Amino acid sequence: MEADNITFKAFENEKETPHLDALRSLISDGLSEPYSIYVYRYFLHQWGDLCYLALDGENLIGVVICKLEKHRENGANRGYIAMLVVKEEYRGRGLATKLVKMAIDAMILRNADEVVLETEVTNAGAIKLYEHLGFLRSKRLHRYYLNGNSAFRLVLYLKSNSEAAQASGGHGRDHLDADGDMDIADG
Amino acid sequence: MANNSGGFNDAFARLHVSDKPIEGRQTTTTTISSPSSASYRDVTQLFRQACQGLDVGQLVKDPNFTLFEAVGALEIMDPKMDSGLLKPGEDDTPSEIYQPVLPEEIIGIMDQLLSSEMSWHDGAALSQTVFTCLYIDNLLSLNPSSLEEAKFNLPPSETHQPGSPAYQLLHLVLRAYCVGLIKCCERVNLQILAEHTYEEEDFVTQTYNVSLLDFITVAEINKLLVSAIEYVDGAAAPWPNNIKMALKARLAFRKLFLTELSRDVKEMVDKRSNWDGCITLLSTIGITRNLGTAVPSVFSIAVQRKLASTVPPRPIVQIPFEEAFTIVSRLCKDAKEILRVLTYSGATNLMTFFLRFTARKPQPSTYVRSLLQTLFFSNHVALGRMQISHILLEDVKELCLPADDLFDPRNELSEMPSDTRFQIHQRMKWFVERAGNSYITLYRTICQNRSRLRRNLCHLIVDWDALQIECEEIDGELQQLIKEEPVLHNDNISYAFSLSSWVYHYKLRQMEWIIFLGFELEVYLPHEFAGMYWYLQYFLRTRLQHLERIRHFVHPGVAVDSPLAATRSKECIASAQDIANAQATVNFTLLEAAALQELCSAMIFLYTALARLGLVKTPPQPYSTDVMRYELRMKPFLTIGCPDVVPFEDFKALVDNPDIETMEMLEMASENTKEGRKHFDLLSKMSATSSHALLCEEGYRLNLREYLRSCIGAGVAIVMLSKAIKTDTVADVEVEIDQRSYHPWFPVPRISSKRRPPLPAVPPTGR
Repeated sequence: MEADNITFKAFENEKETPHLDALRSLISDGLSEPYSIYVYRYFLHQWGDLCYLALDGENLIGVVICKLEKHRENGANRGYIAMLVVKEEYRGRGLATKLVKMAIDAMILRNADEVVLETEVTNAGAIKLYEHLGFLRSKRLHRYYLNGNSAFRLVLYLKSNSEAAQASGGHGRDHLDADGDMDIADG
Repeated sequence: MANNSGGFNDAFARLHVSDKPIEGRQTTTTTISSPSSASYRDVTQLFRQACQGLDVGQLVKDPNFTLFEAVGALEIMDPKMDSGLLKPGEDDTPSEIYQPVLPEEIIGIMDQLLSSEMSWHDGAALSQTVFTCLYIDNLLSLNPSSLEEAKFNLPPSETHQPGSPAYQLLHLVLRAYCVGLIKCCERVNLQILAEHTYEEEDFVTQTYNVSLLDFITVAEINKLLVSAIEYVDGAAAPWPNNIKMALKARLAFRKLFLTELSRDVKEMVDKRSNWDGCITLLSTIGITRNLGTAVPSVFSIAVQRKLASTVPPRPIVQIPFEEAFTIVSRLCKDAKEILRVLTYSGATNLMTFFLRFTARKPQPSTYVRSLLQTLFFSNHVALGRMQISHILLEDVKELCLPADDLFDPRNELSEMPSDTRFQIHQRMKWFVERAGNSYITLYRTICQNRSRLRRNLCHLIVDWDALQIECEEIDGELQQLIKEEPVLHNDNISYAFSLSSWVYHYKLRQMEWIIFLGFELEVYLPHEFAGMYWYLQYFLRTRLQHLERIRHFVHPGVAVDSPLAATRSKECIASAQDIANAQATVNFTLLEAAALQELCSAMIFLYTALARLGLVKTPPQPYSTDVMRYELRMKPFLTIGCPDVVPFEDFKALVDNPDIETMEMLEMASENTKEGRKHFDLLSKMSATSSHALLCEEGYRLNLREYLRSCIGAGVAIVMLSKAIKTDTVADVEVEIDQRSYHPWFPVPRISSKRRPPLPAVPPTGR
């Protein structure tokens, strides 16, 4: 477990997807919700360049999976962090923060207006990680997860409202949509 | 991106070919036994062939296959997703259900069933709770359509000869209990589906196409329960009295509980409810709890395999009996308590009840909150016997007391479009419809879970903001029609604008609730507290000014020469008492708002001081900017016309107060807590009538005490902090924000010294 062996890379052009199985079992162990292969395919196929892997030698030890798209027509260009997992024995070393930063930096390059995600209200570690990057809790989601736990929606604005509106050529963030929930059951 | 090569397209297209066998290719048509006569064709070969046309890593994606579908998809043979999966060594043949012989076991099963039922009430699915009971499953699996059919289908057993006590225990006593319980579930489901709640979030109504004895009447089931009770009571049942009592209490509770769950609003209005009966029987169930012997083997997760479900397998949820007992007891008490709203005693009292009842911790169950919505408004009737317009207009009158002419019943009788009365009536009719909808929605929203309440309020204020503007226009027209006399207010000649004033007041309250709930739901971080309390103080100050204005215009005058004066109905003329009541309501509301404003002001100074002293820290936040984070925080309010969001620079200066010394700031905070305390003390001394808390005095006073506790807690923190500054010991101070021991809207910093007390001379024993 020498820190020197740890490398980071984008999933990007992994046509052969050698890490897919490892990635699935890592997430399956780390997160409470069950995800079908379609969920992974959905993200990796469309936003493989927003997926980053942490490797110890050849072993996958951490991953962040994201997407970036318009939130509703003419809405904000919204980045979404769907899954973030670091193997238990590698936690507390800032790997997750590094992965998230890589993802956010890539989203910034791709002109994201904002980044959002959900996390279990009891997951103090994850909440702290995101809040130390600049995220704010925007709302609480009652019994959001299958296991009955509630979630916080965390939001990071990368552009102000006026910038977002200009960039989108529309009205940017929909103010009436103070709610704008993701169409996903989990993050 | 999907990059379909030609070879693949060909094969893929053939997959779509319907029934026609493909030329030159052998396709086997297999009919798998299934309820319908659908015929299936094996497409394995075709599919394999289609795949040949794909490169490794290439993905075919239908544009309509969204994340929603991806998340909803189940993977067969994945133990986390496939509820039908048999693990190695597992057997699919249903094992024989254990048939209990002892009455203690029946008591045990009944109590386990109650735990399952209450786990369902508490948010788990039927597939994780009631349906996991093998007896329930056995009873329902034959899809009974009559009471005769609703029975257990068990193999004959030596120990259960027909007519024997063991047989009766199972086939009469337990059966009656199960049938009763299933029907209770049906009633609860019907109630919850009738009102606005959030599926999966508050409650799971999914029954997996299993009928919950829909076709069997409550009366029939009650009869069955009675015959079971009679059997237990009779000489043929050879058990000691305490056992008999335990069984009877459970059966009788089931009967009464089912009866209560089946009542319609009319019966409740006629005071025929008997929740007290349920509560009494529950106490007997509690006392005889230890007589039962649990039979865990009659519950099994394997039942999920059979349920038509598109969700992954979910574990059995069966909360401990004590917890279930607490939930069911609270449900009965709460269901009884909400009947109080049927004793209508004014709109403000009604609103206070809704606010206090739904804010209770833990929050009343989804069932009760749903029933409260039904009591409030169903089938176009409010509170079982009133028109919603009546409550709405009373709410307006209780606070603003608009001009009498708006409420004259003669207005409605006028049919001449040119007639003033006709025109007034048109406008009031518009108001009742337009504001009535918003008003009903507000009550319903208050019945939602706390997270949804906050989220929905963010939508509601947009509607109330629009309503306010629309009402201002109507107010302007009405003031012309009734020839309202202008009044001098704050050096301006002005009019009452009663309707829009009332709307504005409610809008401001909702804006306050959004932020207060942000504290309650722990949406804000401690370093944001000062800013959020500043906004509360700003909204409250705006509301106080507005209330002063309302007070000035309570019961506006009309011109002496008003054409309406001659034909005015006596009954619409406000009495001196009406005017005094409206003034009292305004004064009470002013006092309450002033108390909250003082406490908020204290919190601004206190948390700003803590930030200055480095005791409340802002995290690093390398991304985004403070301006953008401010925009995010203000998002619910950005489109609201009045009061408007303050520019960030002004906001920052107003919260940080760089010109005020920290000690001075703490002194000001101390003054605010003292003032706040004075106001809260005054409020505590007021009667339930003057406080509009007739329907919920206990909850209302408890809430006041919590405000006071926060006030006192803040006062203590201010003293501790001042002392630390004076003695130059700030470095030794530790701060912990206490969200639990105080009012959920006013978390208080607990200030303590880092220096541990000296170690005791004798080390603690152990190890």
